[in-house]
Amino acid sequence: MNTEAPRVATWLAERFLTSPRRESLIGDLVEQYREGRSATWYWGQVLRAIVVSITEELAAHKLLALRAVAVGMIATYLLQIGPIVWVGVPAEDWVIRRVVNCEATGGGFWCQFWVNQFSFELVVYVACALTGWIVARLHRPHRVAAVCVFTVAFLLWRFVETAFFSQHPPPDAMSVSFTTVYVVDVVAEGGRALAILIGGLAGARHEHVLVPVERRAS
Amino acid sequence: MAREFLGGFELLVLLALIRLGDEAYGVPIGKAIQESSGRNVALGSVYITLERLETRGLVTSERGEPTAVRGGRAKTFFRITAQGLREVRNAQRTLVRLWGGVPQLERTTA
Repeated sequence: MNTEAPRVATWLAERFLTSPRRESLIGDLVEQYREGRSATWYWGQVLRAIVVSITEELAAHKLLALRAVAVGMIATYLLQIGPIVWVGVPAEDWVIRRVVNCEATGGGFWCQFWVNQFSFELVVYVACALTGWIVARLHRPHRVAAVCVFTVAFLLWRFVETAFFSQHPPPDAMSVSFTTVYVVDVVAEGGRALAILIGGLAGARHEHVLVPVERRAS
Repeated sequence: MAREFLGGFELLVLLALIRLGDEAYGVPIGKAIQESSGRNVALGSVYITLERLETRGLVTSERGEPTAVRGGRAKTFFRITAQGLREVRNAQRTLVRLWGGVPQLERTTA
């Protein structure tokens, strides 16, 4: 007999389920898992429950969904034209001057990729986390749903933009295939989306971890 | 405000509540629907439906005690209200009237 339900799935359920009966729902899933259900079944139930609860909340608050996307996009834009340029570009220059200069060493695409990840992109990830936090804080009663809808909108926007630019790759990316550039871009966008979710969860932490379920339901 | 019709899944959930009586919480409700319909049921959908029905005053809920087998989490027991029962009866009457005299359906009811 299974004893402990998949921890990551339970962790996700505790943070992403918006239902006031969240604890009872997780308890029901744990009970069935201990009766012999598989880990796949448990994961499936958790993911479906998260999608259903967020969809239901957004359907009931359509304007909130639009506002969350608008706030997130504005925050992204303001952070991109400000701190990302002020901090990210100098950080990348510093790494190139002090740590490794890919052009001088002939390191190629992957050298440039890692230099970028540990300088400019690092600032972008922090900015994305900050954006998620801002969206969560400005939509307190529906933080999780607001952050999730913005994350999905962000991913759609970035994937369309990535697909467009991968058809016109910059000359310095020609040392690797188009597919590699595209896959790397998609993974980077996934990382940015993850940063938004993490920032959003930090902004939603009090509602979902510290406040008892009964108080939310009343 | 116009009275809302019960959705198909809402009706299934209410019928499961009537059958289960005092023992109606997520797990048996899901199992009852699964056994009668032969389809997999997402517990998340059951809970969302129950919450919607509770908002409409068709269902009430009560929190049980936390148990170790559930990882220290309490059950929430649900019960149909008098208004909920009326809605189920109305749905039954409507469906029976619509079913009556439809030759395509008579063969499958045997």
